[in-house]
Amino acid sequence: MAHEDSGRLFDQRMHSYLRSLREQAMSRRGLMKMTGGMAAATAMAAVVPLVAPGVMVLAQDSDTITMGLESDLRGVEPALGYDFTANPVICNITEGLMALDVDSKIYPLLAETFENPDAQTFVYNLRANVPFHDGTIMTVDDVIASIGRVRAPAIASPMAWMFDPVDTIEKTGDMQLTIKTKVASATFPFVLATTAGHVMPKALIDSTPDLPTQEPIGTGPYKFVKWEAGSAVTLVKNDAYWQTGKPYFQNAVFKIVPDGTTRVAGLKSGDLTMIRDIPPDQLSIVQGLPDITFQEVVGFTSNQIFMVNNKPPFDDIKVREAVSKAINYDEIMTNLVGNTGVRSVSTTVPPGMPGSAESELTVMPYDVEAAKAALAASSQPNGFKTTLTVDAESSQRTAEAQAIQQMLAEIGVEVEISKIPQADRITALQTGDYEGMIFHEWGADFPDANGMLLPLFHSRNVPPQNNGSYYSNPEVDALLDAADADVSDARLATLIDAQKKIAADMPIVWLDHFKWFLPMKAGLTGYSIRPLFYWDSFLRDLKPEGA
Amino acid sequence: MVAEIAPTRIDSSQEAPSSWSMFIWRLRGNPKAMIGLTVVILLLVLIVLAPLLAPHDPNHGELSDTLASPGRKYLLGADKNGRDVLSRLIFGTRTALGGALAVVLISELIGVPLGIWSAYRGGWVDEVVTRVLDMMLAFPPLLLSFAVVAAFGPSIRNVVLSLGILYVPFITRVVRSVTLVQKEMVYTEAAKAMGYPQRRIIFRHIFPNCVSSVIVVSSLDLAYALLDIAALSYLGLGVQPPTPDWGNMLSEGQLVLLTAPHLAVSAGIMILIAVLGFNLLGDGLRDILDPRQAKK
Amino acid sequence: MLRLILTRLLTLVPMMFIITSIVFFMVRFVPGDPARIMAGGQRVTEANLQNIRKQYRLDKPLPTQYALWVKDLAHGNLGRSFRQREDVRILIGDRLPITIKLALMSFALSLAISIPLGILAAMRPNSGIDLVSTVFSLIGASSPVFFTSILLILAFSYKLDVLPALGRGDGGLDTLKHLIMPSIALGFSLAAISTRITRSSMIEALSQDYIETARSKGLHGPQIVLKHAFRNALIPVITVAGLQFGYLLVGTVLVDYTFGLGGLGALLIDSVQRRDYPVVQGITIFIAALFILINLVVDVLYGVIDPRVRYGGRG
Repeated sequence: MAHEDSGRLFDQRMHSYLRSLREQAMSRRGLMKMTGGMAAATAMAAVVPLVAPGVMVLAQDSDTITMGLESDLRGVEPALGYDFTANPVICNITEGLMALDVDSKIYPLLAETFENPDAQTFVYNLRANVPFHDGTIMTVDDVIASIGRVRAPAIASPMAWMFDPVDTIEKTGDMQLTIKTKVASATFPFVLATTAGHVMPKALIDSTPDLPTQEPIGTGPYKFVKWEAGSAVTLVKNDAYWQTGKPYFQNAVFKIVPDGTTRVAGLKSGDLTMIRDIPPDQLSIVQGLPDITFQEVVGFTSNQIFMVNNKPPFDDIKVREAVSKAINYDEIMTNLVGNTGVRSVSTTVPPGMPGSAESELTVMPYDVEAAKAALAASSQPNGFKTTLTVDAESSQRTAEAQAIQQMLAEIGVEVEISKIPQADRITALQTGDYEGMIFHEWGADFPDANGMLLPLFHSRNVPPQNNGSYYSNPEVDALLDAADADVSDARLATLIDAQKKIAADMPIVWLDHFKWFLPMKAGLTGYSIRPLFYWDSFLRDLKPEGA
Repeated sequence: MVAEIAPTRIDSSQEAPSSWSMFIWRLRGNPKAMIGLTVVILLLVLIVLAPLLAPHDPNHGELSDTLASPGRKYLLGADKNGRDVLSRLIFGTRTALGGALAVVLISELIGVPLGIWSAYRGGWVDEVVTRVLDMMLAFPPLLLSFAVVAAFGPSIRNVVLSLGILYVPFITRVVRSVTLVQKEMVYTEAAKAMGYPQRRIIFRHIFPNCVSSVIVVSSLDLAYALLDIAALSYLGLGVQPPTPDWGNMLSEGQLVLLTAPHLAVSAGIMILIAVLGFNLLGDGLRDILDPRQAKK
Repeated sequence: MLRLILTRLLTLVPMMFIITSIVFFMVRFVPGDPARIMAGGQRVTEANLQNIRKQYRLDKPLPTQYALWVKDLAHGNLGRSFRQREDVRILIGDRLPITIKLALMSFALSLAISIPLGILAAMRPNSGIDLVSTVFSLIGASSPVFFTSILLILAFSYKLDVLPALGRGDGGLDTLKHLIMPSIALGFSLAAISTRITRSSMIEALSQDYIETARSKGLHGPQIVLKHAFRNALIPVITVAGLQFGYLLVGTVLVDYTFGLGGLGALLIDSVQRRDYPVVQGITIFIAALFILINLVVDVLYGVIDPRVRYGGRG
């Protein structure tokens, strides 16, 4: 903040300046000259931005897909591709041996065939003559190097744990790879369908063993051109793509547009071909836009509030019951969450996932009287104070937190809201450094119901793993472990059983299963948003109108 | 524009300060100061009588009224949680003004003694202090405060503490220059010659003459503090929910600007009025109390 | 002249040192494990964490970290972002152009408004134009720059739909379009302050006697006027630049954030909110260095233009 009196030199300067001004006979003419000079200076300054190098203008034509991303990428390295903004970009550049289709079933992609001779053996026969963007042909060595990269400590990939069940990885033929796991795993087949299974040339990996690459090379439909941090990532069509005829668009630009309203405006004006993240209060606006196809799908997702079950006051089930019943989440959903999700019916497994118990469970009722009664019968009959930790950056979450604060005040529970940056909240969840209640969201890595249960409710998965509520029920543990080792369909019944037990214990406050949206320019076909979109290329099959 | 009443120049460096009635008379004649004073008094009224004046509970909202437009029920509309904007603005005055006041008080508690002592001692002590002050003056307080608050955690306490310390140079500089002038005054030399103890000289002669400058600087610093606190809250580094705060309300309002502009506009205008009030008051007081300084 | 530069440099070095030290130690007092934060909330094993610590030298004792950091700084290495694993100076470099464009445009606009307005107001005190200038200054100085920005967005983007609301556009003309409102918002704020400065100093200078003397000497010759005019046109530019740089800096950061321009300001605030310590450190150092440099340049330029300052005259 400038202050007007600013030191000795200032006085000196101002005196000389003004004296000389006056000395040149400050007439109207003189003043006009000066104003003219100033105007010229302004004009020059305005021209400078034009002359100075700026962001390359990409022809905004029908041959380019422009997608609006809600935040900057953390990186373009597939081994680090574990979030919702980097993955849509990365998955167009690199590909894996397997992939997931729109129904979340795996199918071979870079592998030609895939065999599962016994519960612990996985055999992949690679496709021949699949070129990388640099012209070299993909071999088994590249695959092995890529997997090794994900497991390399130097890279610190967040997906390294996916290969924990692995015993051996061997090249068992010219174009054949065999992986053996230590135990039977129902979920291991999915690993190579994620970015953890994406293939980059061994040469590239060897050239940067300790640092993520800034210029990824893969087999995908688009080649990496450049990444202007904070601004945009540019990709160009891979003319030698192994699936002939694809992709259909020449260029792909991923623009970083952090403000939701601007993204919607971009969609409206045609600047953006598609976006994924929509601010809840503009959902209806987007749905009403002409020339836009609106896609949505309920994700394999779950929002919840963890209550710390291993310490007072939430170690008492009556307290948890009181808090759960005092929250009118339906009202929060209607007014704050809107149609961005569907209410969870007492489980983290969304209704679209096989093994979900929602059809057999009931939603937590909003019942203030019952809540008060439960509290009166609990270890805290006179109410208590607690904390609710929430992301500072999310206006929706902070609004929800404040609504919950108000609702709990009605039964005598005083909530202090702790607003911290998202990075801090995630760290806190990992270190267990929080008290009372904390918001948590979970998206499945694999299309498997146990993926929504085992990490969150098994007693051995307490922080630094993901059982943030410190829930511990040996019966549930047994069921979840059994399901994990079971590769038959009987596991679904086991999981439903587990969910019923968990629901009865009320360890967390179930909120909603949030949806994924993909509004895009009308006329485009070939891609539908799916729950596990983050393992998938949007642009491979996307066709322009009439194609 | 009221023509300035030709003042009988009261040299505020005389030992006897301007008499009270003379001050009031000059105050009345200065439109800037009057307007500023009115605004400040209104703000103080809002602080004291908040519970009476606010039509709703600022912390209680009806979710179904989320983002209601201004109307009969909510004069300035409602925010995302269905809380009344007007009531939150009224209660927000406490946080804003309280914070600004704390900042200025802290800076003065440190700055005034520092300025007097440094100027009085002179010599290398004064040199060092001046150099440090120059360095601090060069860098904008908001940026440094930003880094401090970011490191130690966002809270109104950290905001106030860091700003309070960073505002010290503004007051110290003024107090120091007044003291320097006082030092040269005949009566100070006389007092010294008569063997008065240092403390007496400082308290009886120098300190009272700083008062008018301190008042002027305080008023302006209050304006700047209000702006800086609002900026830090706007960035999410200040007051935490659900405490009503103008800066927070402005940033919440920006997120819903398209669909519910009333939130951002009312919060912003509130900040504008408050800061304007203190700016006017400070300017006016400067015209009155230090006519020499007014020209600089 | 040389003396001026040397004295300035002597203040410069300790100031840089103090600021860098403050920044270094400050962020290390923050609670939490930086290695985990850097892992960004992903599932990481202890081995991975150790690796991260090694890479970022977090496993070394504090004094060693400090020494290594200072050494890096001397080589121009500002560290590496936690979140994006990219060199901070590259991140700064990417974002600098748009910030510079914003700063230049706003500054030029503020001068174009404040200098003529301030001079006119001083020449006719208590007139209509003086009232306009006073009101303009007061309101401009009292309105937070982020509020002015929001009002502009509301008016020109949402209601009138003539200008793009946020973001920085695609470069060239499009970026210019995106910079119009930010420059107006910031320029307006800056102009409010510089108008006051110009006006009040002008009033003082006008009351001097030597003005009439100079006039009576007939300084109207076109060549002299041109030489004087040009020289003197630079003086206010530099003067105001030096005084305002602090506020320009703060304003640019706030405007950048409010409009989502993706410049240095947005990077700084994002990193602060995400606890990306190296970036916060790097940018603070960069800004401090820039600050001192600009102050030095202003002083030197001023010395070049005005011989009285150069030779330390009493003026």
